[in-house]
Amino acid sequence: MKYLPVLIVFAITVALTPACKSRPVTDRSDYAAYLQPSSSHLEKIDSDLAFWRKRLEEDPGHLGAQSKTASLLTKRFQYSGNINDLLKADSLYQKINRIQKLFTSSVYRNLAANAVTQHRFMESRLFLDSAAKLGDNLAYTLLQQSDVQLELGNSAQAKRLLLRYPQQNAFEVLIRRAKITDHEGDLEKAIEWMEQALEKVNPQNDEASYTWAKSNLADFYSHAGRLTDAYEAYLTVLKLDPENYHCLKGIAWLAFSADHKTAEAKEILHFLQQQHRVPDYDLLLSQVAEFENDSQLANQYQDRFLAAAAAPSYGNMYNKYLFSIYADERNEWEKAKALAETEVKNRPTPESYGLLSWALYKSGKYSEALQLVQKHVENKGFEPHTAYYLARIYEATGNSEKRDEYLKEVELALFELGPSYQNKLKRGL
Amino acid sequence: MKAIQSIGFVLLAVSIFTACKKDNPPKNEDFGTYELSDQMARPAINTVFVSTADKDVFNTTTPSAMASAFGTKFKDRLLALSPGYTTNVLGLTADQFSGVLVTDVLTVSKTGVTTFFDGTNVLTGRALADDVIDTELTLIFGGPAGTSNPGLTSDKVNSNDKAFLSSFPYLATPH
Repeated sequence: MKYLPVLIVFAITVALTPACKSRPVTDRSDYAAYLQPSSSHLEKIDSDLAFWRKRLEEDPGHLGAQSKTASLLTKRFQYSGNINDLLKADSLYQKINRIQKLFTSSVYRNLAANAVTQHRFMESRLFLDSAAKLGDNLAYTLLQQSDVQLELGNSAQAKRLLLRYPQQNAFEVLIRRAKITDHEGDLEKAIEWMEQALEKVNPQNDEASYTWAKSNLADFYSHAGRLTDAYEAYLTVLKLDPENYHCLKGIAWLAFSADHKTAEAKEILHFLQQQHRVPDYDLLLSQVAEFENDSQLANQYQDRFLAAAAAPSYGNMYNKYLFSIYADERNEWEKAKALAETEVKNRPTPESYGLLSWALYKSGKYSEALQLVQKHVENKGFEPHTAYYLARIYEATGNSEKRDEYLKEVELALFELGPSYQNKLKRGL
Repeated sequence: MKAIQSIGFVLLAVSIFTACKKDNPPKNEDFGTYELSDQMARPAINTVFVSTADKDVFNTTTPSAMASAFGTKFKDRLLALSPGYTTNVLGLTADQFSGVLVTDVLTVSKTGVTTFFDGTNVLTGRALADDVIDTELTLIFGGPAGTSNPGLTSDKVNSNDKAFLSSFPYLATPH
């Protein structure tokens, strides 16, 4: 009996040790091979583009060549990050649709997909309405309509549309069930759906679908705290497609957020910046710099991100991230509020209302923020950073019970939120 | 007792088989079932005569059922495209001609000349160099002698832009 206190201490030590000194998730030697500059996707796309462009020079009105060029430019954007590729694709699609819409709805669907990439959700819905009215290939139109409804926060409607798809156990349906279920807050079940979807697709026949599903599954694993599973899944994708930037970015995030290996995270991010010129990486680099207490460098990265992401050609694509810089780093609450209002208009989701209530909170309008939260955010399913906003708004309005409730949600998602939130919580909000 | 033993054996066998199945790499036939979603026979006929709203249904209708389901619609479309239609060079009335078109299959004569239309033989097959679109346009717009509406009876593309091959796959290489 006299050993009991010793035993308790021992038990506590054992219980805490793995949490404090657990084995790192990432290991540079696993992914170093993918940090070699290469551009095989882009080269292939460019050689195909050259082929069709030559056709167009010979015959400028050639519908087939215009259509191929537009679809290659759309694909090119994934690898080039150059928004002009997407805008050029759009104008070509608009041009050929003057004739194509007499025979097929397919160009409307292409326009709708590009509109979603550019966060023009309402416009995308209109394109899909036109496609549905034409009525051919309705199954494809339904899938995209379901996607847009989910983006607009209407998960019930997204589900209803999906139920009209003829084969309910098809890959296309299962991946969407996963996304909808995740949106509704049931990550465990979402993982099951995505795993089921993966079993439907053979990587040898359809590598693109396989890598898409696998990398999305990796993101789910990482949100669920299954960090090693996430890491393994990212590596599996990279083995098939060494130029998969999404997965490399996922590993950079694991290295930073889980392992606090800032040097490794920076190495990956700098590599990605060379390969893929999109503003996103500056944002992550600024978070890493902040974590390393280099606020000057963090500011520089933020400036670069702001300059790039605020370009008119990006439209509303980066609003959420611009918002967090203006609201949380720069104290420019009016700018933040304007962005949040735009988001609410484009996509009236609980998340968008969360941004607006945060902007109100930041300008000291606590009760207005609370009203908005109670009307449009609470009990509606939302992202972890919205839970953080809610906790602070409830704290400011004197409801510590609700504050603690939401803080618990934030704690559960600490890895997803990253070290800056980990610090915020350590400092007592 | 014996029954229980064999049940046990069956269960063991099942569990071994399931375990094995899981470890085997997936084969192609493991990935879903196939079903009809599209079909095509005579070039451009589906594109021109079937409205986009009917397209999904038409593409999944077996040819033997096409005439009863789409016959009237084909005739309406024919007369909408060619309001002055009486008969064509084959002597087919609007009813007869739309009846031929609506069953969208490629016919082939096992003994005759393989051709879409060579002036004498009609729909006895389709050779690569046949000017299918001009034939179809002539049958729709050309009237009883095939000479009416001369501006509408040709797409002005009279040959492939690259020579066909003399051996399999016969099509010209992509360029």
